[in-house]
Amino acid sequence: MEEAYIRRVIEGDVEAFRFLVRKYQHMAFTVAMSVVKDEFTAEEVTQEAFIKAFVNLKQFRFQSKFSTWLYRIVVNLSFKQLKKLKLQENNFISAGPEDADTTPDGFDKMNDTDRKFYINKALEILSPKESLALRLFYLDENSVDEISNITGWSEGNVKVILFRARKSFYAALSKILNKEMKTIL
Amino acid sequence: MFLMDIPNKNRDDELKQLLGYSRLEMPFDDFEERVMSHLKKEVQSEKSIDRSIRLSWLFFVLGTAFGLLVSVIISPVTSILGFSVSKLMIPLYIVGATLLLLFFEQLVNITIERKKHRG
Repeated sequence: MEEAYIRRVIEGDVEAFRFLVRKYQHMAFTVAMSVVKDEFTAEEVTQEAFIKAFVNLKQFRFQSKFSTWLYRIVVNLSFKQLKKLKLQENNFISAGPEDADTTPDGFDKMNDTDRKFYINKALEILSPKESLALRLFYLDENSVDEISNITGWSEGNVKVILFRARKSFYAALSKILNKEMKTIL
Repeated sequence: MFLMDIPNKNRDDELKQLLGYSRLEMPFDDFEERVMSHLKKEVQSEKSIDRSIRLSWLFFVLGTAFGLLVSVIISPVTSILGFSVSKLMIPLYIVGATLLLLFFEQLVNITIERKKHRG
């Protein structure tokens, strides 16, 4: 189905690209947000990525999933944008060896809206690489090999980043929730 | 490092469940329309570039043919206002041939670039 739309675009049917935009805009935006951490910049990057994908669609060889190919463009543009914004890696939270990697107390009792809010808040304070790796692996369910293709990192590096990211994520979540509890009390 | 390779299914399932909440929605409703209108403009501009290149080739060929025709027409004339035509024509031929080669090179480069761009 998706392949048919891609072939139609290559043959000159611009309107067929709408299907791909509609299907992937949210995940492409999520991927961009993981890196650039700002809605407007992420939207700009996502739009640029779709335009780049359209212009270069003839180079897509159907050897990988279209999403892998598209996210690679999104990731490259996002990191390029990040370089322009000059966000420092040390501005983000990173877990230490003493940090526990479990869900903080009270999280189970939260409703879905609150969970969504706190999880996205935690991902926001994680480094771009770590939040990107977590979302690609656990949310979009890409394999280590696919993440390696998307990001250009080696498979070993993906595993290392994922290992650190899990700990940092729990640490970030605990930090945010503790801060919230202190504010409430 | 070794720990990274040990699959921890429970933790992975929990993270999968937690990260399930991290999907973001594109907050701009008109995103799809903006991308599509941008793409249509892109296609239009691509078509206009191709049309310009075709016209450039046409006028290049017409101009060259016209130039040749003029030089053939005036070749029987031996002098204008007492000046020898053959002496007058040499610098004109040099300038003309140089321009012709420069235009030709430009056109070939542009055409090759477009073909590469279109894949």
